[in-house]
Amino acid sequence: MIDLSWRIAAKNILRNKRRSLATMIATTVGFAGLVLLSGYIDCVDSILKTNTIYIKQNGHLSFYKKNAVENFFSRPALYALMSEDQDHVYAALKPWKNDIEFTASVITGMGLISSGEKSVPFMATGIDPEADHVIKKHAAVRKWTPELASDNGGADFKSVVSFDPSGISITKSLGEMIGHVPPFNKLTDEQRSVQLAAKNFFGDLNAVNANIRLSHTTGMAFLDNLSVQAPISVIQDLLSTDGITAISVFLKDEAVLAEMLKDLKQSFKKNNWQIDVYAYNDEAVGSFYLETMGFLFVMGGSFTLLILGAVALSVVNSMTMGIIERTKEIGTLRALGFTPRAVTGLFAKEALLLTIVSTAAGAALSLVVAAFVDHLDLRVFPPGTAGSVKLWLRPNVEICGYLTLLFLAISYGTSFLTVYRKTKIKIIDLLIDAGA
Amino acid sequence: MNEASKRSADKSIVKLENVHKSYMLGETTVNALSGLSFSLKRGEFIALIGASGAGKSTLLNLVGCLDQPDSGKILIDDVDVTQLSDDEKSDLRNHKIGFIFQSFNLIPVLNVFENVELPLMIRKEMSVAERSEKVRKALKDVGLESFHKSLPDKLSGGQRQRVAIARAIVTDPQLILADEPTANLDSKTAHMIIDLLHELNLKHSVTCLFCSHDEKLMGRVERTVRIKDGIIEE
Repeated sequence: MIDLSWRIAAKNILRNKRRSLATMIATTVGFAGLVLLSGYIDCVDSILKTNTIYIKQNGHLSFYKKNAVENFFSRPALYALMSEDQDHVYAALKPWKNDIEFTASVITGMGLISSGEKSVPFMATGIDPEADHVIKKHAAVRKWTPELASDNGGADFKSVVSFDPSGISITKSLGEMIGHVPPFNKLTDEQRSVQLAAKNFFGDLNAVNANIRLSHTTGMAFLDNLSVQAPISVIQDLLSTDGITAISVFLKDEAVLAEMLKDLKQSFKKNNWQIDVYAYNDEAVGSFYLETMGFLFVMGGSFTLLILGAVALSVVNSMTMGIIERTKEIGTLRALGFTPRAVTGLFAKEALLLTIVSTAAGAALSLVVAAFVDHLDLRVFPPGTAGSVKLWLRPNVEICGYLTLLFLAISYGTSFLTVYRKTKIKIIDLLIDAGA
Repeated sequence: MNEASKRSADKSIVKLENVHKSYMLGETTVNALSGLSFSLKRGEFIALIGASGAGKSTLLNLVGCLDQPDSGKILIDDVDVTQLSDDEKSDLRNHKIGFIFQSFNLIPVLNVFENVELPLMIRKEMSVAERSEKVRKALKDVGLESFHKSLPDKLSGGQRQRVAIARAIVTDPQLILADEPTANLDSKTAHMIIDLLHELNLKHSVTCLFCSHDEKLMGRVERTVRIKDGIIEE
């Protein structure tokens, strides 16, 4: 049997159906809007995170020679991870081997790419072909950034190096800059052949021949005019080194990240190994991710405040009208022995009940809108990314839960504040009120 | 009646000592009660009569802890209620006093059963079954068992006042205060209501104090107290 106080709340909600409906619509639409907004932010977060970790090959954790993030490009020989440093990293990782999905070595360099006719600057990333293969097929990449990994008809560096160790990948816009129109699989052998030139680790100018075999996108607008990807050996040849820039570690479950990071830092310090380790969301290596998400969170937070304010006003309006009409009833309840808190509790239950129904309706509405948007297959351009991705508006159960709690707290708080003051009025004054 | 019950019956349940109460009416101070002293014994059935503005309702409101006197003492069951906190007064009203209002003051969205159950819902120590039993008993006492699902607006004035009486007695109060309980009723129904109150007064040994300006009802009460210009004239 439903408690009498909840029955009273339900009956009072139905007492003025039009007003209750207006409050409910405001709350429902506000809730659905916030769920969808949070679903969009969650989707962008997943896309950018996948891009940062997998497409950019930063991994969940990346290991650099101490201070290399700031100094590698100016003095690469001094700040590269040489084989001894790499051994230190792998030794420190040993206790965590069960948490690691895979690792990848990365080397970066800058130079000029020349097709014979045109030369333009590039920023090269030398990547491990085996890791590239795993990443292109990774579930997170398939789910969140299939557009960034689905070029080349399924071909990747692992398949390319088996017949052409000098095969490289360039972005479409870089290809256009050197006079090659994508798709690159239509290029003749002569067109495919390019020269990469760069200052090597010793400060000398060096060049290697390479063949354009694949195209890719970095997923980031500001890098897509510059990016070259190549097997790590090609870039090591170009830079005349067997060192690398970084080791990236990809975890099975991100939950261990913080603990692992702390442990690894302690390990490097204890052994006096000159290694820096960064999480993907550290400003040093993931500033784009951090800044973009920071902007979205501020925007989302502002919308949340606006909507919560509107909901609070709607509840205050409903409660204020309710107590004006029911002043005499408040007096009667007080005369029957209800304390101000007990009377306020009755009104707060009305607000809570209305909010529970509204948030449930809001959640249902957000599911309907999300399904409709999914059906429309809309494309969006997340901030700073290259190209479009599918618009996902997937209401998140956890966020729905938090938002429901927030809405309940707001409606309880506002109704409490609105009604409590009224209950403190002298009972005889409440009883003689003629009502609205 | 044994000695103990006799002592208990002789004892005052309500005692007012030199109570003053004034109101501001615009810029004029109106003395509603001017040093009023009065006591009410257990089990009494008393009518408070007087002209409009004589101070009847003010006295009832003060005894019911709905208002605070300017000065003086109000003792209910030997407790000076003027010294109680708001929550303590609420508790006292809920446990010891039943109110019947002139315009019934029923909650329109609640049915008869729920209206009567209302004062019991704040008693955390009482189970739902106990509450239901008490409500059924109170409705039986006022002859409205078969109307338990009706909404107040489907009832006649007399029936509504009987619901209000059931609500007043459901808490087993020691004192029932009724402010003009028959003012909105025809004379036949008014007599029935007063008779019902008297019957309950005898059956439950509950003290009843009601105010009325209807002199015709005075023949049906044990004691009449006349109030004039804020002073008792018994």
